[in-house]
Amino acid sequence: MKEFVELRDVRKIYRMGEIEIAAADGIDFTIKEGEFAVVVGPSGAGKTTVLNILGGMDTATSGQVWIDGEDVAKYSARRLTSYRRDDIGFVFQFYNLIPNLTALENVELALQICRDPLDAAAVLEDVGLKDRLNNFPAQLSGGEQQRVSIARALAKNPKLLLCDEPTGALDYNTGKSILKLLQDTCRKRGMTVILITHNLAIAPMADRVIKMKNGKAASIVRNPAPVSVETIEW
Amino acid sequence: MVRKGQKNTMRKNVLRKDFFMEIRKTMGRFISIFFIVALGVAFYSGIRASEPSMRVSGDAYFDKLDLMDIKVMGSMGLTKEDIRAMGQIDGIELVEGSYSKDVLCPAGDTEKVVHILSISKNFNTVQVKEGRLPEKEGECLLDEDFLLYDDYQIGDTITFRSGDGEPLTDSMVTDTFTIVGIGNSPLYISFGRGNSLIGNGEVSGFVLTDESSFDMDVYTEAYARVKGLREKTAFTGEYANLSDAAVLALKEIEEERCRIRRSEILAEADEEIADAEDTVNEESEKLEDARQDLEEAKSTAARELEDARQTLEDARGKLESSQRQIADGEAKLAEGKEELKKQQNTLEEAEREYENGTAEVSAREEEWKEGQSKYLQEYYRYMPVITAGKEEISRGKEQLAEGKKQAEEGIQLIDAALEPLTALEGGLQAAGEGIAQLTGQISQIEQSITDGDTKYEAYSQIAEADRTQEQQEFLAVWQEERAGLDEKQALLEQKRQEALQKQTFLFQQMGEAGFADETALKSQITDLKTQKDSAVEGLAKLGKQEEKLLENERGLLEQEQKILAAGEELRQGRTQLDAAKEQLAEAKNQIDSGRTQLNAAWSLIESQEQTLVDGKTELAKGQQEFLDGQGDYEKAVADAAEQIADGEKQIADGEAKLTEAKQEIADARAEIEKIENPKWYVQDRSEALAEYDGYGENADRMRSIGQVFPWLFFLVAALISLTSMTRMVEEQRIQIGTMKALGYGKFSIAKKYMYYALFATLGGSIIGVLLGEKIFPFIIIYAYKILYKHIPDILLPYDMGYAIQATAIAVLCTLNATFASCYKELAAQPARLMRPPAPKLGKRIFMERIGFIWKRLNFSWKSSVRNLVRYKKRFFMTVFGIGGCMALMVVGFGLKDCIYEIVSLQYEKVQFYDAAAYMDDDISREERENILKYLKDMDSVDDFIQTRMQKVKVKSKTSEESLYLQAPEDEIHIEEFLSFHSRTKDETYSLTEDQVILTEKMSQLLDVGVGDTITIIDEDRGDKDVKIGAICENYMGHYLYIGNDTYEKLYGARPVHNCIIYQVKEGQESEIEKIGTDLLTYDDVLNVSYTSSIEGRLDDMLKSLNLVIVVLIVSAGMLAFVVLYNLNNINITERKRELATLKVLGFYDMEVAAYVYRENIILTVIGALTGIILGNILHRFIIVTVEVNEAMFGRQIHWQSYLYSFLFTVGFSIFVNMAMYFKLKVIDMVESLKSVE
Repeated sequence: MKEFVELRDVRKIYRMGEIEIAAADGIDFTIKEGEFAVVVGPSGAGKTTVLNILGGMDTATSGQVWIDGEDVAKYSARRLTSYRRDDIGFVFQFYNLIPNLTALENVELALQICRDPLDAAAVLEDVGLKDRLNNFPAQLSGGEQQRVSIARALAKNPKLLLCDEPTGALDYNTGKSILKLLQDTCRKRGMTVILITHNLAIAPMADRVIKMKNGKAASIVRNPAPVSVETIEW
Repeated sequence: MVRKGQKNTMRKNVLRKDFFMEIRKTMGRFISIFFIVALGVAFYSGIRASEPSMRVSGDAYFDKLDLMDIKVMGSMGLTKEDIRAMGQIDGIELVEGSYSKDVLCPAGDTEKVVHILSISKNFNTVQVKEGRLPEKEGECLLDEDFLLYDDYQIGDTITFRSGDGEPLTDSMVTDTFTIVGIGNSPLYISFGRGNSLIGNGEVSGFVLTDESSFDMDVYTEAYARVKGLREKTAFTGEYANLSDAAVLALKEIEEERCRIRRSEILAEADEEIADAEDTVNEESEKLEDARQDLEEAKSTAARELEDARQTLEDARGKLESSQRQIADGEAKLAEGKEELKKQQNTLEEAEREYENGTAEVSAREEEWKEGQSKYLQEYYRYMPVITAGKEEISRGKEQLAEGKKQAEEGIQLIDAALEPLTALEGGLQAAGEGIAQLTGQISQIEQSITDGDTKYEAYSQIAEADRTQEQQEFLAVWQEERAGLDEKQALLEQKRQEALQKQTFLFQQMGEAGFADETALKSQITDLKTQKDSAVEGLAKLGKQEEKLLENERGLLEQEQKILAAGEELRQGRTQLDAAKEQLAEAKNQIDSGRTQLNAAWSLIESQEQTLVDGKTELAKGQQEFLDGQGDYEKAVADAAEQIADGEKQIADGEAKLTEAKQEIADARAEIEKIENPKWYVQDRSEALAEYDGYGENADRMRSIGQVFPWLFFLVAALISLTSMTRMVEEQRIQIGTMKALGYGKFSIAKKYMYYALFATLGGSIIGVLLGEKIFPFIIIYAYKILYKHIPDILLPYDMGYAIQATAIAVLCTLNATFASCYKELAAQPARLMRPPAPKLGKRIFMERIGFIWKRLNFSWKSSVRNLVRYKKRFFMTVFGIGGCMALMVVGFGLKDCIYEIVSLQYEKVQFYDAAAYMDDDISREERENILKYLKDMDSVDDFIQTRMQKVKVKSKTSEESLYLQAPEDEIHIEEFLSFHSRTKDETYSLTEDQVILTEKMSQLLDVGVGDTITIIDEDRGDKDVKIGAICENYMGHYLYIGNDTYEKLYGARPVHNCIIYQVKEGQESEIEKIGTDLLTYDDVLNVSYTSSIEGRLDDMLKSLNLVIVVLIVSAGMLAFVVLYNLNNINITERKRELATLKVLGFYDMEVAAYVYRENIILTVIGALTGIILGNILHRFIIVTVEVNEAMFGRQIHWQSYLYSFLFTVGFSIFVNMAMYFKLKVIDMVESLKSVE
């Protein structure tokens, strides 16, 4: 399997007046296509910076970011927008659904700008929301909202699914079911999934675990035998 | 206590710090409230303050220039005693008499009426713009505004003309004035200059002169100042009360003063009449003397003239006979001349022929000479050749002849040699042939004998018996025959012998001749023959040569002939030429003699002519003398006649003058009888000054507008405060909860928000008052300065009353809104406040049920529509804000529509006449008929009608107003000039049916309707009640139309018509004023008013509206800006997360903007639609409020006004949205990752 995602010496430096703060201080790691990768680390380790740079929401100060053979770090702002539009699926910690649109409409909203979308209703059915298509976000539980969010990301048929603490706002069981959904998606669709969390307990279910520390990838561990979510406890 | 105090201070300090931090953090919000309040307050206090500002500015101007308070005019002037009497009245501070007169002043091609005034020392100071005030008689200062009509300059002189038939010098010292200055007077604050009894009835300007320019016994008017009025502000009730009291006081002394004035006038008049009568008598005697002198002079003149005529007649006879003689002589002379001319012509012709002939002859001679030289040339060239040729030919001929002879001799020789040889040859040949023939014949006979012998022997052997007949016979004869044959043979043999002999002989001969044999002979013969042939040939050749020679000879001869012929011709030509020359010489002689004769004849004729000319000169002299004599005679006749006529005319004139004088005296007597008590006209400023009232009314109008407009701003201010503060409280619920948990009381917490709003509001109010009370009154008064341009200073005092009012209203609005928005949160439990708010429910809205629309919308549209329904406060704020913006503009444009409209409505839909001429009530029947006849005869007048027009007061139960009572002469015909119809209903009325028709505005002022009764107040004839039959559309002025029958019923008599209204034919509008001017020449026509000048004045007045519209548009723009800015601000901050999420999802900046704009667009459109309705209501209200009592404005807004307003509104919206785009662009996507607040 080829290297699908590769970060080479990525740095992100914020200038606050006189002081320079390095949020990313030379990150290097690779992820292969179809892998379920988990980026873990404590707050301030540079997880979110990695996520922002991978998701095209921010640009690296220096270094290369290769996604499917292209160096995203060199993209212009407009190019980055198309990149987000066509190549990235994003799952937010707080779901970020449009409150005024129903579950189905929220998914369709993302699809209306997409090149090669999947059928919205079918994807929602896949994530187990067959009966809640026409409910507004306020009428859905947190887990259900996160499922809509995942469906919205998947329906775009992206190259890469980025998940930012998808279980952070969920209770234990619901969180597990969401992780299961993500793992299944990765396995069934061969989707490359990068999950960002501070919860180390999730690590065993991943194909690859990248531990962040002080703006660097402290360890990259390939897990030859990932376990099923059901077996994990935390 | 101290500690507590300290604690308090500390707490306050912390809270204060938080408070100011809050303001700094939420500057946008603060500014929104600040700004909208400033707008509302500025609008309210500014427009309201315009009214006092206008009054104060006006009053200051009037006071500065000492404008009179009261003007008194006397119908027979005011004496010094009158002035003194007025001055003694209590309450009157100062009185000054003054002179004035209306005169005609040339202006361009026309004449305009100007009002000449004398300078008052204490009143009505004129502002000199250029030059100086007049100081002595003959100087004047001209109205600045009059320069509009003609380009007068300082130093120019103007000659005025009286317009009333009397010479101007009767009342003025001079009629020609020098302009020394140009300026304006407080008596005329605007364009109107009042009316006049002369010219076209309209005063166009004033002229100020020194008192000394007037030559009048009494003052025409007096100006008075009222004690204490200077301190009062003009156009206020206080002023009016005090002024009215003074007017009444002045009227009280009127009666007494007028009686005195009358008796003075009567005494004066009687004296004058007596003087006049004396003069008349003297004049009449003088006239009789003159008549006698004239008769005598007439007879003398007749005698003298007859003598002179006789002398002239004789002279004429003589002159005529000599004239005839001269004519005869001239005729003969002319004949002679004619004849001579003919002969001269002939001579000249002959001369011409002679000259032609000479020319021809010399030409011929020339030709001949040329021929001769040519001939000689040829002769000498060819003749020798010819002669030589001839000689050669004769030589050739001789040679030929010899040659021929030789040849012929040769031939004879040959022939002689040939002859014997030929004969010998011939004999030989014949002999040879004869021998051969004879030998042949002998051999034939021998044969025959042999044959016969054979046969015989053969037969003889044959037995006799066997022989045949033939054989028998043969046997029988044969012997015999044989014998014959033998004989023959012998003969022949003999002959042959002979021939042989001969031949031998010949041979012998031949031998003798030398020939060996026959062949030699023959060749000799052939040779000879050949020789002969060549000789013959040579001969023939010679013949040919001869022929050629002959031919040559002929050619030579011919040529010779030719040359000789040419010589002959030349000779003949010479002869002819000589003959012609001789002829010419003869002709020349003849011509010369003819000329001599002619010259002699001419000199004869000339001498005769001279004689004639002398005769003629003499005749002319005689004629001139005669004519002179005749002229003298005629002149004498004419002079005499003229002198007589003059004398007669003088006498007639004298008589006429006498009669006239007598008549005048009689008239004067009659008039004196008629002189009534003089009258005073006591007028306060609004009656005396043309435009004074208008200024006050305009100020009132501003107040009305100021009462209406600003409410919209306050409403929007309240809504903005409500939404902003609600949002603020929502944002800070955790903080509120925390404070509550810490134990702060509701009031302490609420105080922050209340102060926030109060700060913004007070700040906005202060700025609003400071700017608004300066800017708005300035703009409004500035706009009015188009009308009142001489008011120099705009005074803008701050009006604290309106400032406090406005601030109080604003504070009330915003604090109420703030309290409403934080009340709910303050009541809640702290724990609930600490939790994030329950997310707002996405709600299904009504539109979703309409599937076919909903399905077509995309998701951003769906979201936008749901948003609109969800955030109702924002919705209303925006809709009212945008609606208000739109409404303001609709009102602005609509006002213009409606006010501009009334001129055209009034004069196109209601009143169709072009002018009205007002006559004296006492007009004589004769004069009236003259006027009517004039109008009837005028081609350009289309139609006219008489009517009664009278200003009366009327009252209803609720109020009292004044209007024009109009009773036309014919109830049907009047409809050509006026249209009685309803504005709202499709109904027309007629005076015949309805009898009494009231105009619409008046019915509103009186608050009466059809069927109600109003009272016409008339002090002389008593108050009368009439019942209103109909109410008709009308825009300017108020009228009560009344039918003849009703009038008669009311007053017991038909109305006296004092007004004629007329209209001119289409295309002849230029005639309107001319007719008016003509009408004013009638003594009893008092005034003519023209529709067009009313229209023009109104147009001027309305120009100022444009500026008001600009103010409204700018205000509307600011309103729209504040509201949209606020809406966008709230929308963007509140939905930052949502927008950031969209960005993360890959929406482009424009798509994100469109998502937000969609709401703004929908709201703008809904707002604009609301604005149409709102504007319509507001407009209807304002139009009624703004309306002046004298007019009714239109009610209809044109569709273009809606369109412009809409476009402006959309423009503002687009502007704000564009500005917001940048704010959208900088939203950070990282916002999407943050937790829900």
